Amino acid sequence: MKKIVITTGLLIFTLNSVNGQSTTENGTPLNQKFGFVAGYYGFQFKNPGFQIGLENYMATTSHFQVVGGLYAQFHHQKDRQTSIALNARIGQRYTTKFGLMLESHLGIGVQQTFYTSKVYDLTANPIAESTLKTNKTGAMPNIALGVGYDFSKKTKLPVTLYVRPNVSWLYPDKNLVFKTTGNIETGVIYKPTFKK
Amino acid sequence: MTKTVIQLFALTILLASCNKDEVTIDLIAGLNYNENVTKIEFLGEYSKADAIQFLGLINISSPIPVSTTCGFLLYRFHYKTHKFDNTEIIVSGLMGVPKSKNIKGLVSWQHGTNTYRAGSISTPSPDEGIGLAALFSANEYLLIAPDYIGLGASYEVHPYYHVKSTTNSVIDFIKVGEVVLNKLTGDTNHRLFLAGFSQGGGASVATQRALEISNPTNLQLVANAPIAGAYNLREVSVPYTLNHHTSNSLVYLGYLSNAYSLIYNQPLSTFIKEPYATNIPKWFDGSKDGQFMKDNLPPKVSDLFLDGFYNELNNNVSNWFTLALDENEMYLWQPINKIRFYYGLNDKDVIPQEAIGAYNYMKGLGGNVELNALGLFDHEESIIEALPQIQHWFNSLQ
Repeated sequence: MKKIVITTGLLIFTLNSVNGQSTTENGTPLNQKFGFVAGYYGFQFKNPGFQIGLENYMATTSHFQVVGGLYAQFHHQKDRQTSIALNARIGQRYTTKFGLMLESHLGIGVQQTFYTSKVYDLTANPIAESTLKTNKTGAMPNIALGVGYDFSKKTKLPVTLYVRPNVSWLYPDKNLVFKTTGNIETGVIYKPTFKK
Repeated sequence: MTKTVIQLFALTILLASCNKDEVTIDLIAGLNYNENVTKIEFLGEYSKADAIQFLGLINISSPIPVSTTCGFLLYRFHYKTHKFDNTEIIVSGLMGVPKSKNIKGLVSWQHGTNTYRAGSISTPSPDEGIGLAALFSANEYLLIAPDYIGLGASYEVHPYYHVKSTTNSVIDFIKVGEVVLNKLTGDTNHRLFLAGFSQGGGASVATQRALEISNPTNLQLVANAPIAGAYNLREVSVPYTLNHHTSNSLVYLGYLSNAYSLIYNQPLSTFIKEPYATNIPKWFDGSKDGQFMKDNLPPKVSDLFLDGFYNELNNNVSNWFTLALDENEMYLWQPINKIRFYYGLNDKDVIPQEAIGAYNYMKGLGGNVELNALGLFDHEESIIEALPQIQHWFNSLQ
């Protein structure tokens, strides 16, 4: 176990060893290509879930990065639904020299939702409660705006923290309508830089 | 700096994780319905943003703005009522519960002609159950919409245009709605609003009459908004349908024949031609939609009824059927509470004469009645045009 931890640590250190690499005006390394994302996904803000993802930095300018990302998202809403989604996004990220990060994304996802509906039988004594289960696959366009902090601008930590509210439109929901939800994402982006 | 950012991050996760208890499902299931409710199903939850979107999608574009103030929850209730022979049965209906503490009252919506159980209003669709909940529940009204007998959870023969059966299923659901309303608002003195379209327009007027004769609730009826309803079956609705063919004429007459045959104990074969006398009970059992009916019912009314019976109807001869039509009229009375009849001037399914005739008769008796011509709209268009006006009218009566 100890060996694995040490090996992993060395690997991360190696990935982040920057040997004479070039950077942009705000200090972003030009050879930074990928980021790994992990964080909380709050469906309607308050229903817990998580997301993991992979980001690809498609272009980097003095302050901007064009970000393409693929995210797997999961959430659970008590007595209502559980879902898994695969969400592809493209967006732009602006980072200041001090590390403040602002971003916007457009996405299209596919969500499999497992609906649970409570059914109460009032003829039973005591009242019997059961659950009706259905599931549906839906398309989920979404937009997200984010704010965060890039630690790599002031420290050696290649990590960005983000808070990203998003609005998504799922179609069809279980009653065959467009379902609009406001959600929150918050987590960590780990951005290794590769040796030349 | 780093420490502050980490603290802010942790706080964000904490706030985002807070799960405020908003579950009212258990609360509603736990109320005392005096054994009148047998089952409650949760159907869905929608936000104010969803409601605005639904109203946009069903093209409510009236110059009168639609007000949307909150989200809503949808339930299907299974409750007890009595059919034409006074047998107790279980029926169902949709309830839209506003996510608001300032509930303005109870709206009972009576739906139009539907032959298809899968299309029952308690199986909510964007253009009916959900759309209506978006209009009323998202504007802080508790909405109920009975499926009537024979649709939704009920497998009885649908008593199409049978007043007593219909008002039973509506009023019994209003009683259920009152229990929920009392609980959600914490008091017991509430307002009741009725509205309905086509068959439901007639059902709304009949329900008002029943409530004004005997109101089993503490709800105060404030207003009734029937849209494009048929009220005078013997002298207006059936004669018009016999002589003016529309795509729905045969559906209306087939549905009516199937219901009255059972209720008035007259075999279909005594007034309907074969093969329709054999097929009509199977077709009108909730398993077939309107398109199936249009495709399979005969092209002409004279091909549906036996010749002698058809002639009697055409000449308004009194027989069991025309007497049954008389018995199920909905306009020969003096309303105490306000009715506003909405109708479309281009309506070929339910002609303007229905609303005008009912209005004239009631006004002649000194009834509390108004007439609202919507403009050059046909049957289906008139509901879209009327609904924003009805919401505005109900809100103005607060």
